[in-house]
Amino acid sequence: MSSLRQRNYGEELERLLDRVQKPARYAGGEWNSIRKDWDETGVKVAFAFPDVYEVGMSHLGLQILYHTVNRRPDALMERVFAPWKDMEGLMRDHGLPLLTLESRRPVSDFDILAFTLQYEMSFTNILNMLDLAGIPLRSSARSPGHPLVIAGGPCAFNPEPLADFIDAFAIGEGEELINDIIDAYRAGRGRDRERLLRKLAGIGGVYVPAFYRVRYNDDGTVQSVKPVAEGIPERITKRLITGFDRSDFPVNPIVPNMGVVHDRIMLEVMRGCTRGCRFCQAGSIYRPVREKSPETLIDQAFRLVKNTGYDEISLVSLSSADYTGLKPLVKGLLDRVEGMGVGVSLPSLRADAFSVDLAREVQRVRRSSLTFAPEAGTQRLRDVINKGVTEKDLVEAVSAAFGAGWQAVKLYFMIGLPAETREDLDGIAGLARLVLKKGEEAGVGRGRLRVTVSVSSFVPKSHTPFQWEPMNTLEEIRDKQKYLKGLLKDKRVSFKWHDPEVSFLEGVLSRGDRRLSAALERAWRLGSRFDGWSECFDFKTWQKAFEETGTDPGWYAHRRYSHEDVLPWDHIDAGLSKAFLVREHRRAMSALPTPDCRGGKCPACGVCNGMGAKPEIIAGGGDGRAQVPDQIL
Amino acid sequence: MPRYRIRYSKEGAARFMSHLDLARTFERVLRRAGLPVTLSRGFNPHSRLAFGFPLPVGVAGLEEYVDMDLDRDISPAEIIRSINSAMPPGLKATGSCRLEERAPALMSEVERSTYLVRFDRGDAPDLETVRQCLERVMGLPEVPVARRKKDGPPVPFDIRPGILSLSAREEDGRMVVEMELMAGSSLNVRPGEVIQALGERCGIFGGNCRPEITRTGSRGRGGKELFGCCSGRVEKC
Repeated sequence: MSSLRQRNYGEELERLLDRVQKPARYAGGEWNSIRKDWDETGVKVAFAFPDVYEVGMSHLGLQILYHTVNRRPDALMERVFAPWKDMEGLMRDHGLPLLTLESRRPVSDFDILAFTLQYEMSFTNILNMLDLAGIPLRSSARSPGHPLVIAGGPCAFNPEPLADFIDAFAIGEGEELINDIIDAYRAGRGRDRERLLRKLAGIGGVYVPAFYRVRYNDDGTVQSVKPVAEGIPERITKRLITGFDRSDFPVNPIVPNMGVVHDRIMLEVMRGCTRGCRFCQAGSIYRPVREKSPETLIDQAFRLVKNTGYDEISLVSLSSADYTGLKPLVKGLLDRVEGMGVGVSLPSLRADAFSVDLAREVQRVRRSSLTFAPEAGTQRLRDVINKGVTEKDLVEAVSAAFGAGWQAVKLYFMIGLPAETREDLDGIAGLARLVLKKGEEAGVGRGRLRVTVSVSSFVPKSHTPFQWEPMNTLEEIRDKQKYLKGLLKDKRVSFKWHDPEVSFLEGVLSRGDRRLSAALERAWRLGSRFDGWSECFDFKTWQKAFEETGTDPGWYAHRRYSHEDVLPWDHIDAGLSKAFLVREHRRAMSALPTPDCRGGKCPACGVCNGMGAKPEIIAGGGDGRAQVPDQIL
Repeated sequence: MPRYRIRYSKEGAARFMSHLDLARTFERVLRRAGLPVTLSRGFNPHSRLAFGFPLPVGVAGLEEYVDMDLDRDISPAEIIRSINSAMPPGLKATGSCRLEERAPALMSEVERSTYLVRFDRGDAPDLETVRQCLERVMGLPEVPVARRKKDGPPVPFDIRPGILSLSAREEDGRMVVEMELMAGSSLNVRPGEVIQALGERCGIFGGNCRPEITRTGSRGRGGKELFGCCSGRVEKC
């Protein structure tokens, strides 16, 4: 090992860069990236995004945590992304370990390695990155010399499939939690790993899986997940930040040197969503809704433009059209930055005429089509999922869009939703035809009118009212896709669907338990990487991995749980009461919608009461939009 | 509208920026620098930058050029100072001058570029062998290499008319080949093609060698200086 230390990794990497696709992924040296003095800084954290650079650099959470850690004088954070297959091959051939972008140091030299879990299909990349870093895959095999491996993000709300690989999970929002973890690390470093982990387990929102024992029933379901030591909490409650308007936001984000997926300013106008769509995990785990004031946002946007030079500001959140201060914000932004050649964009539109009008006003870069997400084909099924959009809303929205000059409309739907019938599939085709008709009526030229119907497959997610519901089998999904294809033969309609096998695997992992770790590790050993990329995903490899580890994946994806069952993630507390989730599940089965809590009627989800928080909604919306049923993208 | 020509270098991490990335980066640099860049009219206004002949990804450039319009007169020294306050590592403005009203577009002016190709130790034979090879290739009436148009099949293309001069020397024990090649819209030869041709004709340079390539400068027709744009009023920083 000592001879390895003397190698100049930065120079070795440099030589490989001429041989890979998109070398800028690994080169670093971006504007606003921070390289601190290694020897002068106490705690070194490597932030690991288990996907390629272009995806990872489009993630706002990375920019927030990078800023949060690097503003501490006693800590530094550097970045590392999953190397694409060509680079991985060269690294393995040359014995080059995983390096961070900033200092090109081995990830194993850092104190803390922090993964973000955005998507189940990136799990094999986590194992691959650990292996490339020379860190034992399993937490139990690590020694004090290895970095502390932590992970946070939405998939940490069911951390169990990764429980054997991660030392500690950070549940909920990371802005304050990362500081608590670094503080605890500083106080506990040098002690043995067990004591450090114990200290971490005492922090609110930190889950150290090694301190919990899972027992199973004879039928394979979980009987209990209990702490095995004194002082370890029974349940781990998510962290959230309050006073969102005053929360620290990075106005000096890193500006990539290459094109990335979201290559623009991401201005977070609010966190959380009040819509209550019953399939949506983000809508559950980011509660309650918290808005920033237009004044704060305009000030941040102005500084962001000056510090980054971007020419586009995207108003990001789960449902930006619901943001109370949207009109004053857009007006204020355009007044302030339009003269600098900077435009504003709305990533999500509601299916209503208001949203289309706003899009028409602000969208400087005319995208060729507008997208709406009715999600289901009939009013009954939209009531089941609590998607408060009506056919009338959609008709008004697309009519406004065609009237304003758009010639193409995209419609997003889900198939395999609970309580779905053939009528609901017919409804999808019916809506597509209705939109075509509205396009003809609006006089969109022949040969120009296009409707794209994009259909994804429902995947049940933890902490949602549909967490107990089974996912459709592969055959059911394929049949439904085929059926829809037959209904959508119009040349002006293009039909797109998701790979059913990817959705199935997502369903297996999203409701998985600790026993899946064996299959996950085997799939990685058999070569699975970048499973979210169609050119890399190989379902046969996964099937082999399940077979060889004696795992029945269908048991996880297609199981219908009862409300009394212990769920593998029940010890993780997202703030939502089980009574609320059960109530919502029952209302869904009776096709009863639950109103948006912005309207003033509290559905008693439990987050505000249980966590001492409340919705932070700025004053002065008042254009009456809050009552308009809608949708988000 | 005053027009300016900026000379800059692109090295280190920045040499991996593609031409499109570079154009995007310059737009952002100029906005960060707060320079009054003239925006195009129309629905989607953006700064109008005219770059020289693109540098291949991975190749460093010591004297690269870009032309731009500003809304008002700013001293070349001030332009360099503000641009350099906003450049990412590896990019650096090294000169600026105001262009004459009817100065031709940069792209139409560039004709040739010089490159330094540095080989790793062990990747090149001794100096004498390399020199003999260069002479031999310069003496050939034509030097066809395989070129691919888009996804089509490789087609032979004669690069000999595009090779203006080749020389070799040793620096710190490393073989350095200097090339002057045509680099314009009418005829463009890439240094990689020359290395490939040398390797094939003389059986030197292994197929796996990745020499470090630097474009040291570019000139206009007949070797005309591109930075002598405004009658001696060149300012450097």
